[in-house]
Amino acid sequence: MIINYKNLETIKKGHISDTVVFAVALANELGCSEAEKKDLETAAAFHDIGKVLIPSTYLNKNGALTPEERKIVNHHAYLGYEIMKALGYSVSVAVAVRDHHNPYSTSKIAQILRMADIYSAMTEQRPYKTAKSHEEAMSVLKNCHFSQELLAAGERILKLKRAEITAKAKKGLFAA
Amino acid sequence: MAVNKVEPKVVSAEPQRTEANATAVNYKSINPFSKETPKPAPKKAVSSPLFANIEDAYGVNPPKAKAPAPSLGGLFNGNKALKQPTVEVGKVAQLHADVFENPIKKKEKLTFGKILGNLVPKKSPIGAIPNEADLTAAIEAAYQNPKFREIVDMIEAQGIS
Repeated sequence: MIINYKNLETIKKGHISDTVVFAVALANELGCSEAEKKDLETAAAFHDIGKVLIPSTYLNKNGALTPEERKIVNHHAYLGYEIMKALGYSVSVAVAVRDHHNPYSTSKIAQILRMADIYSAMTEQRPYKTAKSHEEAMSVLKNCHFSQELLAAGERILKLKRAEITAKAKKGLFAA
Repeated sequence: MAVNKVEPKVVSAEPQRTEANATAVNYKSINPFSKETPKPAPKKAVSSPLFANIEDAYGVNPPKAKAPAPSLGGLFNGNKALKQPTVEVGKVAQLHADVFENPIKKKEKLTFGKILGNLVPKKSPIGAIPNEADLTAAIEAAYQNPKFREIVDMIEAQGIS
């Protein structure tokens, strides 16, 4: 079994912290409970943990993945789910990690995490792509099977500056 | 060859001694244990009429008294004078609590680091991402799951690192 610990370092970088902040700010806007916010926050921080078992060649590919490569990379969600369970996290956190690419998931926090993850990925600069503007990113999100309630919250929160989103998220971050 | 002889000059020490005695302070006459207050020096005669009424002038417009210098304690406790602890014989003196306060720390200075520290949560779950040993143990445990094992084996079969 090959474990790419280097991927662990990669997933700690900007995308994860952005995803955590966006997700918790959205949860605050949607009036989620403290328990939901705590689970969401943990799931957001760990959502890509399964990538330690995905070859770095795919993750660091300078260009679009082929369908076959995409299929392999997408396994990271399920692998993350099993790892989270083995690490002793709750089922709701593990399910959110598993479903963070699933548009049909019934888990509320998984859907919030999915929106935060997609928005963060689209609006950040990567070596092989330019960052999308907020308007471009929102137009993509509208076609990603999100509920109207979540889309409306996304419109209100994600258009704010990063510092303002952080301030909004901070109210709900790391609730005991 | 002619040699100029220098005659040694005899100098008497007597005049120097006389001068020193005249200016010397008679230390024997000062009694440090005497309760008598020393008498003020006699007033010098005013040589100029300009200074003749100098004391009257001060009486009308006396020079302003200087503010007392801050006590030494001010250096350490934000200009608050240290209180002299009262000590009873046979007991250990209690130092004033202010002595231990650092005035630099007391001031709430906002620095970039502090602002950043407020923004970045201290107990972030990102920081809770497990180390290699814990992660390896968790993956090995998860590998017991047939579906997990199937996916991992399939990825490894690709032969790509």
